[in-house]
Amino acid sequence: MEDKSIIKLYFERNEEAIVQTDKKYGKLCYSIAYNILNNREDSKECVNDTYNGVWNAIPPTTPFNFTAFICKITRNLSLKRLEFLTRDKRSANFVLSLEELNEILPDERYGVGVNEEDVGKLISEFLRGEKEEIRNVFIRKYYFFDSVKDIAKRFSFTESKVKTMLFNTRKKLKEFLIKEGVTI
Amino acid sequence: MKIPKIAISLGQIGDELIAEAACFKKKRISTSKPFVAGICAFLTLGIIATALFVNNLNTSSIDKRYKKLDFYSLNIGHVWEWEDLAESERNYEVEIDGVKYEKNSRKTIDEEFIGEKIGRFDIFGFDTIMMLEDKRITVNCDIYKLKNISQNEFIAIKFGEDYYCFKNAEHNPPKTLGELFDRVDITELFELSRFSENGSDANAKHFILKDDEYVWNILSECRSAEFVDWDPFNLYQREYISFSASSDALGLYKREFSITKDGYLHTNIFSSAYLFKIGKDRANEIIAYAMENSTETEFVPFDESKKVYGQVKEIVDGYVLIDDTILCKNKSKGITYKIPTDDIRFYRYFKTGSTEVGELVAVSYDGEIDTQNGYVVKGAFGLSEFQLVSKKKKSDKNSTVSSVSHIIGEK
Repeated sequence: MEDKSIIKLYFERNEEAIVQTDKKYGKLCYSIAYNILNNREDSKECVNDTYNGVWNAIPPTTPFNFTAFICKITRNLSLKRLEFLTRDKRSANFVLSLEELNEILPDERYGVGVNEEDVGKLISEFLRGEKEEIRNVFIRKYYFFDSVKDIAKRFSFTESKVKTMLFNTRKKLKEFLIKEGVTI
Repeated sequence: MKIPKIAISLGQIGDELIAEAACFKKKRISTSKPFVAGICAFLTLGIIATALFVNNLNTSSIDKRYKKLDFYSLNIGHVWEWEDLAESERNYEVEIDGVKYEKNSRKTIDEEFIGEKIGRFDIFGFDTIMMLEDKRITVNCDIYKLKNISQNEFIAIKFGEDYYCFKNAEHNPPKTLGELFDRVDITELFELSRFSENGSDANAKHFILKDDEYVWNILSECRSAEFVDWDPFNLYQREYISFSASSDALGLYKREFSITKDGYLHTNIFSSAYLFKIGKDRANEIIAYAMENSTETEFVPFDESKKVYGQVKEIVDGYVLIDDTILCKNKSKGITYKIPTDDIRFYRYFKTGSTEVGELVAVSYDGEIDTQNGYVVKGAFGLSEFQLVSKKKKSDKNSTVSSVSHIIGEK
C-alpha cells in the first residue's frame, strides 16, 4: 500500500493503518530496533511502541516522508530503551559503532552554542555532498547500525572495502565538522 | 548506557537521506571514460576546495620561527587494546552489595578525600575488543568510601598508588533537586567560580564569581524543583550563565552547571544531563547576583595542554625525535625535540606502528622542555597528526595541500 493511503487510514483512525504499517515497515523497524537493542523481546516491544507513537502522532502530524518518519521514531525509542539495559545485553556491533561515532565528535568537544540538531544539519550537508554509495554505507552503519558484514552483502562490497569507506568518511566528516567550527 | 551526542545528531539527518538509505540497493552503472574522468576531476576539485577552506590555525601564531602555513589538527581515534591503555583510560566494573559501579572519570583523586576501607574485591576490566569478545580481566583491588559521600553513589578504588572515583552505574535521575542534594552534597563538592554568559567559547564574556555561597543558598531553597525529562533541552537557544564545575573529590573536571533566564538548572556534572525547573524568579536572582558579584576574566580553552609540533625524524628505544625544521622560515632555526616514550598514551602510536617516520605530529605534554640538554620534552601524553595547507604565491592559479598523511588520534 502507498504511504499516502496508510497515512489516510491513520487520519481515519482506522486500525488497519497499523496492520499496513507493519506489513510494509515491520521488518525495517525490527531490524533498526534489534541492531540497537540486541534482544528479540525488547525489539518487538520497541516496534509496537513505534506503532503506538505513530498512531498518536498522526493526526495531527502529516509526515512528509513516512519511511523516514517511522525510522526516526523506532531509532529514538530504541536508543531511549537502551539507556536502561545492562551491558550484558548490548550488541558489540552497536557499541563499536557508538565508539567510532564518538571519536568523530566527542560530547565534551561540542562547542557552546552547538546542539545535536545543528550537528545533525551539518552531517546532512556533508552527506549530501558525498557519493551515493559512500553516503548510504555511512547511514546504514551509523543510522541503522547495520553490521559491516550486512552492509558488505547489501552493497556487494568486500567487508574490508566497507571498513575503509567508513574510516575515510569518518575522517572526512571530522575534518568537515572542525572546518564548520562546531568543535572546541 | 550513555548515547553519544553525535549519535543523537545523526538521528536528525534529513528525511530524504534516511529514506534513501532505508531502500538503497546497489545499482549497476556503466562507467565510460569521460564519466570517470569527470568524476575524478570533480573529486580533485573537491579536495582542493576542502583544503582551501580549512583555516583553523596558523603555524606562525604558534612560534615566530615558523613559516605562515595554515594547518589543522586531526584526531581520528584508535580503539586501543588493554595493554595500550593507561590505567586512567581503562574501563572497570564492580558490584558491591548489589550496587554496580563504573569509573566516574579518568582523573585520579587525592588521598585526602578517601574514607574508610570497604574491603578488597575482584573488579572486572575490559577494553572495546574484550567487550566484543565478551571477555574481561579480573583485578583484585582495595575499595574505599569517599569522605562525606554516600557509598551508594560513589566509591574510590585504588590502583597501584592512585585512587579513582567510581559511580553507581544505574541511570536513576533524582525526582527533585532536593533528592539530588540528599544523594550527593554538591554544595560541598563543587565550587562555582568561573562562569560565562550565553556561551563558553572565546567569543563569550567570562567572569569569576567572588563567592558562591549565596548561589548555593538560593538553590538549597529550591529543593522541590522537579526533574524535567526534556530531551533535547536546547540550552544554547536560551539566555543563561554557565559555570565551569569541577570536583577534586569526584575526579570531575570542567563540567557544565547552567542557570537559564527562563527558569532552569541544567547540568552534566553526573554525566547524564540533569534538568530541574527552579522557576524564573530564582534563576534570575542567581544570574543577577552572579553578574553583580563577579569580575570579568580571560577565556580559558577547554584543552590547555602545551604542544610541540614537527615531523617524526627517528623512533628509537626509549624516545622519539621530532624535528620542526619543515615548519621554519629559516631552516637553520629548526629544533629537534627528544621526547621520552615513558607514557603509553604517547608511546602506543609508535609501538603499534600507527605513526611512522616522516609524519607531521603535534605532541601534547604537561612537563617542561629541558633546553639545556637537547630539548628534552618531559611529560608527553598525547599525539595528533596534523595537515598543512601551504598557500602558494599569488601568481599561482591553485593552492595545494603540501603534506597529507594518515590520521592518528589524541586521547
